[in-house]
Amino acid sequence: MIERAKESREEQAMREAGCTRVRPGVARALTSAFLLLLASVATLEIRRDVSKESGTPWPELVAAPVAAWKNTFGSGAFEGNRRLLIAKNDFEDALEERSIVAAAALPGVQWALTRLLGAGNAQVVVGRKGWLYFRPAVDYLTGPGFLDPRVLDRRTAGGKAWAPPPRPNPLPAIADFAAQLAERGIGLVVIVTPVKAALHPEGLAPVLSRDVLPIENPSFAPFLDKLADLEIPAFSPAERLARTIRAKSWPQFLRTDTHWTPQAMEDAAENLVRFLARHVPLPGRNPVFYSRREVGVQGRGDLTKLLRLPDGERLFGSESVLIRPVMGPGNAPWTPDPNADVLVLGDSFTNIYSQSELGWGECAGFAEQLSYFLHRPVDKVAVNAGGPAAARERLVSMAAGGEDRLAGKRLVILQFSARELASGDWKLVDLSPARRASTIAAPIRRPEHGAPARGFVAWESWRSGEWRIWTRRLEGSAPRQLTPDEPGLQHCCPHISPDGSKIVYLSRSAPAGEYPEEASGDLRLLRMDGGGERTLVRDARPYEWGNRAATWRNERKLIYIGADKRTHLLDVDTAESSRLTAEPEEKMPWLIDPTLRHAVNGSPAFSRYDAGERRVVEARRRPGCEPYFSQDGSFGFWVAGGGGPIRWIDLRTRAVGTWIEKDDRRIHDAQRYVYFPMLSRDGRMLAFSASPGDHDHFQSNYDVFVAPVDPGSLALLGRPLRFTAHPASDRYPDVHVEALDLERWKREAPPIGGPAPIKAPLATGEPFEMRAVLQSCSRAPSLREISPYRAALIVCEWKAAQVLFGRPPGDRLRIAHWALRDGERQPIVSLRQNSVARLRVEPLSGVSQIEGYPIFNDLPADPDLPIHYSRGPD
Amino acid sequence: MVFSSHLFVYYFLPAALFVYYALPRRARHLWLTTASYAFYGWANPAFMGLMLLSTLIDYVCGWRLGASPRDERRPRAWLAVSLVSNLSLLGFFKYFNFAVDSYAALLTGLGLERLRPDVGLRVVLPLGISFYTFQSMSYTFDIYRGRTKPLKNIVDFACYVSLFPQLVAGPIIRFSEIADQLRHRTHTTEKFARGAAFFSLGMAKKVLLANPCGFVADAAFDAVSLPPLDAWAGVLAYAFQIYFDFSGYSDMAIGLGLMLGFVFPKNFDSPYHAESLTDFWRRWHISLSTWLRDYLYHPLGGNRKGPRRTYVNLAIVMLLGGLWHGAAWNFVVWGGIHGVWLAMERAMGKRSLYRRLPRPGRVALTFVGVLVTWVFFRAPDLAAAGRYLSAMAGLAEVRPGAALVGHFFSEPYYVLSLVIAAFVTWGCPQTWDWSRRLTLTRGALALGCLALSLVAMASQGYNPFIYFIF
Repeated sequence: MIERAKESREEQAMREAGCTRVRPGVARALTSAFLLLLASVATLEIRRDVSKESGTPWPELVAAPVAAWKNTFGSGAFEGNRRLLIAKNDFEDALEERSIVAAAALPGVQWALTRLLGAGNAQVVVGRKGWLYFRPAVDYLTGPGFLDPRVLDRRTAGGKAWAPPPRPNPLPAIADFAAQLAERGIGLVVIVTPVKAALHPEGLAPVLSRDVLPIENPSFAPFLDKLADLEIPAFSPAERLARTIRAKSWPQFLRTDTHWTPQAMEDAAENLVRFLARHVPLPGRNPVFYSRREVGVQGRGDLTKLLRLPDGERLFGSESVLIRPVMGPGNAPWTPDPNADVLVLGDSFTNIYSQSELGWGECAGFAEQLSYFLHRPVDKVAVNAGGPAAARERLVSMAAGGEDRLAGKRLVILQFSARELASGDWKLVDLSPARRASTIAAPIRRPEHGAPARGFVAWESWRSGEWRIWTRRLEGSAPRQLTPDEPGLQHCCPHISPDGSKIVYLSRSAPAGEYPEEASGDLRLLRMDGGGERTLVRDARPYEWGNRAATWRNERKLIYIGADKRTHLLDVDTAESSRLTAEPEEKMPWLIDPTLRHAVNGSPAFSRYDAGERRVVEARRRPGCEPYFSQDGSFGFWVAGGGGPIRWIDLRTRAVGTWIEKDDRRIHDAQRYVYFPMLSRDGRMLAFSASPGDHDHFQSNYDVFVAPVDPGSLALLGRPLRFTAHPASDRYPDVHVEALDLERWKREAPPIGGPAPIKAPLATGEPFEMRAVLQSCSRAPSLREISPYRAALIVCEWKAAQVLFGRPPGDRLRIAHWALRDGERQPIVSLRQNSVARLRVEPLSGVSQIEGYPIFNDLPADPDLPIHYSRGPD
Repeated sequence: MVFSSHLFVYYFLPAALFVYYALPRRARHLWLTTASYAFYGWANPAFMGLMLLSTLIDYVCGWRLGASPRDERRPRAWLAVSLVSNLSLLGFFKYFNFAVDSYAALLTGLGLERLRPDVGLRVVLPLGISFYTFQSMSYTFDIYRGRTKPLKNIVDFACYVSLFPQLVAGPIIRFSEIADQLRHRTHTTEKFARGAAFFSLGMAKKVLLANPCGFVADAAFDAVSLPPLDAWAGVLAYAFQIYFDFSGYSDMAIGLGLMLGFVFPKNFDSPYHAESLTDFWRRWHISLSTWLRDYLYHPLGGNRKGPRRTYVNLAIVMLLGGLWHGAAWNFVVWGGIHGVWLAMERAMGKRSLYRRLPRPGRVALTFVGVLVTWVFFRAPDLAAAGRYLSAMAGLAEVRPGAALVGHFFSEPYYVLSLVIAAFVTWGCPQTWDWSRRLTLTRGALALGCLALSLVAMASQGYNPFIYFIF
């Protein structure tokens, strides 16, 4: 530690800093030069902004406090503060982008630094022999595993103060997307495009052996494993491309661009087709034979542009590639086919060689090549910037505007760059059509940091038009029909074995719209992989007033109700059976708990079972139905009234508690009418179904929910999460838990719920021209936000003042304009409120120029105002 | 707002200086306070209220302390109000998340997961809170101890607490050090010129040296695996980054202070010239170490209660000093190592082996020791620090991706930056000494450095602000 000096620090400072030896003339000169140097820049920039009306960020900054103040009153202080933060951030970004110092000095300085010292910038790494690399892509390879919980936590915490925390984990977003597609009968295949340094590290590490290629992030292999666990096929072309490099030394990436070569892309497309044939057989159809021709293309890499070197410099020359544009029947250039049953959702790796604006030719992109090798038309929606959610969000906007690109699809191929795994914001995107927030159903299961539980749910569902048993992994896989189709027979009463390896269910001939009076049927055993089905008993039945037909005493012994209205114990291995009740019941047969101490018969009386006498001593009935027991027989549970509550009873003390109230606020407000409770065998997860309020067990929109339970205290931990979202009834769930992180659930549960954003539809219709008054505009993104791309659109709201041509659909119009093109801010960015402009407007849907570019829209949601497009205001 | 930004350098600073000098003297503190709040609020307007609250509490406490005779009990109560409120603010905003996470981790470790608190609240750390609460507390402390008198004008006090030159990255200016200047100070061209020189050199340290070194350090510390040499190069780069960044900011703060007529004390005194860790702490972040000495170490008993108590006091001070730098266990470990090291140095006195080494050997040994402890300071968590130390020791697995990181250690631009950083560290005089005599040549050199820094600032997008955790 510091010992006290004799001279105080203030005295020392005054002696040292307060007494400078400098001649007055030198002091004046230094002071003047210093002030002049700093003030001259601001003076010149302000002068430029005053003389040139467009592009200046000052009006937004000046208006921001007023807007924030208004928001404070409307939406609270936090919202006002958030608006202010956004405005000041945008202002500072714009100021730096428009810096005259940067404009004057940057190209020359960058050229000198790159030429003499091999320096790149914050985004571009300059490698040896002319190789350029995108810095985030290199960081993806050298950085820690993107699924490492600490990394995920840091990324979540590292978001912007004014924006919702980013969602760094790709798995929930992909699983959620797969589940939503599955609800529509569409399969999903993921293709992860490798980054350049994974296959061409020679520019950075020339001594690295090709044997180690492809280099991968430590989490990449576990990521693929987890996708496999979620039953989502994932194709990674990296290994195949690395083999090509090892065998033929062919470059798989462009030297000065982030993207792959045409040959690598074609190779990936061809191998993806083989992958699809193995994993996702597509329905047969008449093949379409496309043709290809070779075209030479010369281009300048996007990374060279990002370096912002002087125009015409020769440090990194242009590159030549041979592309093969795909021609359809009649030699017409390939175009995406909205009626195709395969849709490619992608990013710039899909758009390159397809979108002429990227500078590498057209009609020869990934979707085109896939179409060529598949011999079938393919649809494509690909967005160059905006992160891994951009293409999904575009899909939703299109659907809201009446252009549902998922209609008629059987397969979606989701392509994204591997670097997005470590740096992208994996937002969850609700694919359902636009609707008011108040009517939005509970969000489907969306785990944040991996699943809090491993296991699965099995339930009865009417989604296929017959009652079948369906299953879905708790981690978020697509729902899958587990029991086979049997025309005329309905499946019910699923019950999972204690080890989770198999399930019993009842297959019977019964009316589909009501509980049958006396319908017995086959009690079947089925492995959870769908195989090994066998009939255990020919004449089994459920208890009264509900579809519960069996209890597992242990892995081999099953308690079931026979058609004779006696209860039986069955050895599922030897098929030996014994009676648990000696006499048949006249009305309501008994289902006995696994410990053979209590029994229920549809009424939640939880009567005592006398094993010696082989009879049930009936206890006083309670109101309610659908009773059942915990596996250890210590407590029972049931629905105590129409739509809830779900109660439990301690069978030793007869103490009663409540798990879920009727209209329980812990469940999303759209679905609080609860029924069909069931507890996992380990007692740690409660499953039930809930509808928006309709009782009908056959026609209502019941969905399956699960909620964690503390098996010791029976307390419900965390909010119930929805696991199905189909409009048909999903009921009588059973749940099996392989591992459950209750703490993680507790942390995750609170964010569930809340309204989803209302989608903004894309306009269709005829072009028109008008003079209009600007009402408000979305914020324009900075170049940093859309890096490495340099163009984006924003949505503004206008009020029509005078129609010059055609017929606008209304007075108020939302129009997408270019905010950034080739890195330059466009006039719309600086246009003030109430400015009048002449606009030539066309429907946004179908405008080919904007294809692949992000559209930023933060105007208040209004599904009644579709988005149009205008190049102007000029 | 950071000093090395387009907005500050070209807009805020000229405007602040112009209005300051255009106003009559009595209005200058009001302007400085307004400008400082705008400067602070730029990071997050919501934080302004917090600083205002801290200011109001300490102003009232200072006023009551000044009004009470020293032999009464009441002054102690007002001091307690000041300390409790400031420490509560600091504790809540800086350490709440840390406390909750640590408690939860402890319960998990003990197998008591069921008792873990279900706390959904995550607190956002207000920028610079560690600096201004310490400054604010020094005001009431100094009045209580009779070292100074309370300020009558609340604007003067608000100006002291919020003064933008040293608000977000220090140095921590104690009230007693600046009290007289708040009442009266001179504004001369000589002071301004030296301030400009300080600011220019500080900017050069930050932009031309700290930033490229930081680029290399980030590459190393963000890498999942590294060969040993690269790991050492990475931590060396970080040692230069934090020194030039921190001392560069301090120089800019001192320079800005001089331009506004204030003279702030020295905060860095060539710390990598230190011959021991004790010497290092005489030279590194002097405003913090003296604050901890005067307001923590001495009240704990300092070295007056025997050797054992001295060692314990040193360890406590350094542990808390570590925690002051960041609410994470790696900072606690960093502080703990420094505390134990300081205690050992004190215990061994002149008998220690390295006291017998020649001076360059002592400097080198101290530097290497400090270098190793920087790993805890830079790593995002303890596990990462452990991995990094393993890499330095050659015990970690080297993955193929590590070869890519090696590029940053061989790129001429970064190599040159590290070489220049080393030269400036050990071969050049410090800013205080160099700028004591300003000739035309030196002035031109300083402005040249500034111009070069501004060009680099505009052309290189990498410009981290590493004090957001302080």
